[in-house]
Amino acid sequence: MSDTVELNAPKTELSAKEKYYLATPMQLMWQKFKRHKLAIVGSVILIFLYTTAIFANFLTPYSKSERFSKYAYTQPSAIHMIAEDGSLHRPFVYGVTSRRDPETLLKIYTEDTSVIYPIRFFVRGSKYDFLGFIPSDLHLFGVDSPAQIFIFGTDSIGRDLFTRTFHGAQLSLTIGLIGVSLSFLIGITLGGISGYFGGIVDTLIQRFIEILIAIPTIPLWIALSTALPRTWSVTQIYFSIVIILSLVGWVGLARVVRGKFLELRELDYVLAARVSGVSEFTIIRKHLLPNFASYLIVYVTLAIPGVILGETALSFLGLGLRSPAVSWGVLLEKSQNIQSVAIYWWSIIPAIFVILTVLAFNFVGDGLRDAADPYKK
Amino acid sequence: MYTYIIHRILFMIVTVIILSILTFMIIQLPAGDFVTHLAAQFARSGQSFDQAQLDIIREQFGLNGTLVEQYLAWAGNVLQGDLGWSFQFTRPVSEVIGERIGLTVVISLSTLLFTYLLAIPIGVYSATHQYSIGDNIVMFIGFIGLAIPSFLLALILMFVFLNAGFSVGGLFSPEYLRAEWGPGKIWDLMKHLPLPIIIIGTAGTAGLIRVMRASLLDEIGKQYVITARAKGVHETKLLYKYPVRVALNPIASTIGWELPAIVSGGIIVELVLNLPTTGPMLFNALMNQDLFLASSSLLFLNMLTVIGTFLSDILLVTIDPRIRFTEQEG
Amino acid sequence: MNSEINTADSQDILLEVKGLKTHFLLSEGVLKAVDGVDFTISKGESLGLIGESGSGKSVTAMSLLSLISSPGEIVGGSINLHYDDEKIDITSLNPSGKDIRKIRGNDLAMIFQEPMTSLSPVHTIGAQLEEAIFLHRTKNKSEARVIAIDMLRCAGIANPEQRFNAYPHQLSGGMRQRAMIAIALSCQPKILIADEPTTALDVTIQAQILDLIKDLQAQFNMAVLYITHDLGVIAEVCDNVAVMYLGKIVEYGAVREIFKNPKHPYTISLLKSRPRMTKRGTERLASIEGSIPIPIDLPFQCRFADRCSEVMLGRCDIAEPEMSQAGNKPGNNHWVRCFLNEKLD
Ligand SMILES: Nc1ncnc2c1ncn2[C@@H]1O[C@H](COP(=O)(O)OP(=O)(O)OP(=O)(O)O)[C@@H](O)[C@H]1O
Ligand SMILES: [Mg+2]
Repeated sequence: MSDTVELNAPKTELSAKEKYYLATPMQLMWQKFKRHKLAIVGSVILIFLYTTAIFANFLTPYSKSERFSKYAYTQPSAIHMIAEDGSLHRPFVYGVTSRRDPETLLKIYTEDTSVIYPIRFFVRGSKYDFLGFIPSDLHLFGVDSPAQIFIFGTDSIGRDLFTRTFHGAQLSLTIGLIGVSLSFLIGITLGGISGYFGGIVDTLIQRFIEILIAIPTIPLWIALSTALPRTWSVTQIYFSIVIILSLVGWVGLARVVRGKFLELRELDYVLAARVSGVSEFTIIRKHLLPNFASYLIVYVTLAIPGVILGETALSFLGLGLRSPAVSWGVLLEKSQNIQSVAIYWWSIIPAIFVILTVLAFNFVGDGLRDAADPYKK
Repeated sequence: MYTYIIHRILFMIVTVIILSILTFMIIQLPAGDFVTHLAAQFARSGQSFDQAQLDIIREQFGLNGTLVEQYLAWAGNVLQGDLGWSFQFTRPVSEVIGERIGLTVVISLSTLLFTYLLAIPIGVYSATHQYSIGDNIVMFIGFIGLAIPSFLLALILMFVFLNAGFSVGGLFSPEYLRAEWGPGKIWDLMKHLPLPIIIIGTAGTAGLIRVMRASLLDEIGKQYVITARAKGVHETKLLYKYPVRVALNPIASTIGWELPAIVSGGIIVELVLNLPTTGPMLFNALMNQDLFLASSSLLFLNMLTVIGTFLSDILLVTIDPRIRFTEQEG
Repeated sequence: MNSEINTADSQDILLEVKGLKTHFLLSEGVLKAVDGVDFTISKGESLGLIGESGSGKSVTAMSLLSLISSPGEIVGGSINLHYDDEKIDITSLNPSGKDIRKIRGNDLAMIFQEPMTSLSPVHTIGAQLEEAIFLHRTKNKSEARVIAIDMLRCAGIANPEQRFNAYPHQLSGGMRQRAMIAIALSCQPKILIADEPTTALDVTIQAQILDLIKDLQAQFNMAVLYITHDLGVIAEVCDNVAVMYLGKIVEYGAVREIFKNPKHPYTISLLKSRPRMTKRGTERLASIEGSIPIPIDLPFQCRFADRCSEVMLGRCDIAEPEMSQAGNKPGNNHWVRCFLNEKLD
């Protein structure tokens, strides 16, 4: 169709408008996506978060399990630029001293303003393997001992929440990707089989799905996670949680895929391909899947936050990942007690990251959905 | 139509049976059983049991025999109206659930009401004022409402309420906790309800606003709306009589499965808020392998979901003439 | 622009459209869907409006009822509806106000191309029919019902009492279009606008629907504006025809005159590409070379120049032709927008 248009069109330079109307669906989608401001904001946030997760070791001043026993529940370090005497400096922190309030028995930290500790960049600190295999001890920033810098404060045993939040991103952010990939695979396969072959296979799969849908999600998650042995390693638990979370997620996708297949298998070009003797699998892969690739992209984007929230909820309840693993949910587990949140408010900072991530995925998903909709301007 | 309903009811019964087997198995998945838990507890306080004693306790609890035998015994009892014995509470399961189910129903139904009463008008406003400032604000709040997990919202709102000097957590003030039901206690309950309702309902409301807005936007541009406008119908009447009516169909019909979703989604919030409802009870039952309490509550939830879905489908068939027709054909 | 196109007795004029411009403000630019359209419709007349897909026919029709909604807007011109003693300019009315609502359905009624989607799926045919009657004719329930059933019968629907309670999806496409016609005619409008009333129907039904409209037109003494791609429809039912291209009318005249003696190269190629009269097909007119551009940022030149086989470089590509009278006879009601015609003068 578009070929004839081009052939017949007068041989002049294509105007911007004509280019717009001759673009491929993917180019069109991208052009529309670019116009969706929130989606762009969301993409930037996601790129930022995933990048910081990859380089967490370098970007944070400590290692994730490093304890500063003198600094339990320290509030976030104040970063100053003006010293006591009014002189201007590059950003610095003070050392802190602690004492116990005789009435509430809570620790109170006070800044010792006699010495200033400037924030230094590219400092040597705890050792780690950069990207998992390059040994290094370089950190983006830090302060000289004996002072410490805790941008988000510390937890009950004096571990730096800033460091742990960025390390937590590694598990929290990947669990979404892996979980959705898994439900994606199951969903496409079962939905595809169901819709493409129809008949008894279809009926069986549909009945199975209907039964699965009737199981309430959260009790199922709780019941399954209580079954995970306490003795399992972090990796085992991690993958079990992924499986538990994707057990429910694929169902929606399977239904939509089935619907699309039922619709598409009757189309002329699929019939034509079958008549010319192409194998069923090739037909599915070559003709049916590309046809709703854009839908799948949208689906995946919108499904990821669900899995991230699932992990956070389970870990929050103490049923998901557990120490020494660090995820946002694990960091939030201690906040179950509102009284402690009221005092140590900074301990829910990781929640901001959860919300930001979920928001960003929703923005991007929304932008993609608008962009994928051919009827929308 | 009737054969369709009968078919559906039969399938519902089969579904509930399969689900009860599945959940029974899932609950038993963790290593050991309640007696093992019990023995471990006693062991910590220095007492110890020998195998023979444990077996006797198991026998009393109905935990001896294979999984199949246990299931059949429990299922048989349930059919006769006996939900079994709760090990944690050392009381009949029906009593334990009965005490809490009332408040769960109150909270869930009010949340449902809150969700729909808020979401539908806001959705209509948003769709009819697409891209206006109001719409953008609604969409943004909606996004945030969807992004904040309920337990975090619970923490945040409790924090806010606490600092504003309200009592948070629970459903009653201490003085009414043990009091008999009366106007004072009801009023006290009313004062405690908004917080959990808002927390449990926010995500659902945000989602529903988006659905309502999107489906109304879909309908507003359709040809039949222009037809009606071309007849000279007043704009406001036009909006409610045609696109809103059509857009409401799929939404009204979700009520059936929205309710079970609220009940199961509320579990975590009820835990954080420490409410005397079925959520925390079910959670603890699962954690402690309180077998019959857990399986019976899950049976209730499953039935609620299955019946809810059924009602949703029937509702959709009743309010949308197009669907009624195809079902009759099929 | 040119107002003397129609020489019909001005007493008989029902609707007078002058310089109508309807634009869409899109992010890619201003889409000038209708860009200066003039025509008149007189009592009892059948006017055909023909043109390729995208030429602006539907937008013109929607503008007549002020049904254009954002991002579209009527940006210029006038649409005068003549009454016995006054004229009302539709473009001056608030598009959601009371005055336009009194005109819609009552004086000007419209039927649409897609009978599948133009009726509400959740209301019965009867309810949708009665709505218009309640609005413009009577508030009395039983009276409205009688009128409604009568209209259904007029529209050739068998068992109207039964069909009254049917939902649109229970009717065939042809039946739905009949129901749509019943709705449109229920308040006995002065002018019926039929936007491709038969395009979505199969060939045998098409003929029936056209005959029905023709019959009802005589019965109710209405004027009809037919919008179509199909020259066969024009030949069969219209008195006059306006050929539209890219938002402008390029040729206007009596049907016989245009068919016999077309002047505009676009009309000529339309007529050439016409399927044989015996086979009134549903196929679109696709055999004109090139395709209709999107009317955004059009250069100042004849709109058909790029596709025209007679294009005169240095003339057609530097200015836009005006409407001019065709033929040498004064008073010949045949107008064309082409430099070729102007050259003859
Ligand atoms: N709501 C709208 N928004 C943007 N552009 C529009 C809208 N409606 C119509 N247009 C544009 O206006 C131009 C004229 O459209 P119109 O529907 O009047 O064509 P038509 O002659 O009726 O074609 P068809 O024979 O396909 O019905 C087209 O370029 C179309 O893309
Ligand atoms: Mg049209």
